[in-house]
Amino acid sequence: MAFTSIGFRTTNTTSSNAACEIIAPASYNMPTILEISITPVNGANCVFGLGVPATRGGNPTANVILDTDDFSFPNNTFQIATGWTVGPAAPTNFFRRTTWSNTVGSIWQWTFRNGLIITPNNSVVIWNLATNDVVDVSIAFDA
Amino acid sequence: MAIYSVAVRTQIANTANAGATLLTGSTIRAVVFEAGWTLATANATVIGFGHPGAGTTPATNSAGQPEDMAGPTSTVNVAVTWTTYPTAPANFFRRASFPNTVGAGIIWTFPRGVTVPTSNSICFYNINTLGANSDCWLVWDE
Repeated sequence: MAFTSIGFRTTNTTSSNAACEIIAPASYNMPTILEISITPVNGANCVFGLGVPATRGGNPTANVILDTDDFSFPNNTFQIATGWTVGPAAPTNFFRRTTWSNTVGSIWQWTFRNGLIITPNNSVVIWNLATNDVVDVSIAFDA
Repeated sequence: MAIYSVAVRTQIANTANAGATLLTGSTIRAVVFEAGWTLATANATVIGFGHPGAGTTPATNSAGQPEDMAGPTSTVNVAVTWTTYPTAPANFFRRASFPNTVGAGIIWTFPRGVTVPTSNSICFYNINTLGANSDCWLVWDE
């Protein structure tokens, strides 16, 4: 297990679409999310939810490269996607949902006391519950 | 024992009504560690968090989601509408006021947890909402 953290910017702002998807590989390591923070970039009201998509996104076309916080550890094999050929389907339920004010830099942080564990070949999405802003997302993992 | 959470949008925004209730089943209690609330519409709002005075009959339930995706199914639900409404808590564990700003909110944490016995409930209560629907979530151990 090694700590990994990543900051990235989303591009998909369309309501009822995923802004990003955190995807566990078929085997090896299960990403355990410890913390997620989200800040709007341009200043628009945002409503985001975090949940398990009904179906995973198909063929991610835009992926974020992950590094471990300890440079001596190998890079992780899980994946964060911000674009897809076919996007993920809407979650039925959400672990968290929050509304952001229309202020650049307004911030909400979700924490998970025991970690949100993504089992192999599964994913979780940050879901646009409204027409949202482009946002900067930071996630801390144990994986 | 495992951690569960679920997030909902409130539907009942009238003053002196519950916004959302967490309801335990008949066999397993829940220990609430976190309760979060953000305004989805701009109205000055006052909410509290406490045990309702009388039991409730929920109309819509959202089941707890295991934060370990391999975990067992939750026995706890969160309701945002009821056929029999919760009555006002006599006292509150937490209460907070928000400005009429979309996105205003709070995260309450309970370091040792608030225990909800079996067949019981705890609620976000609209002390003064003026019609402000909100996004809220609860995190618990069961």
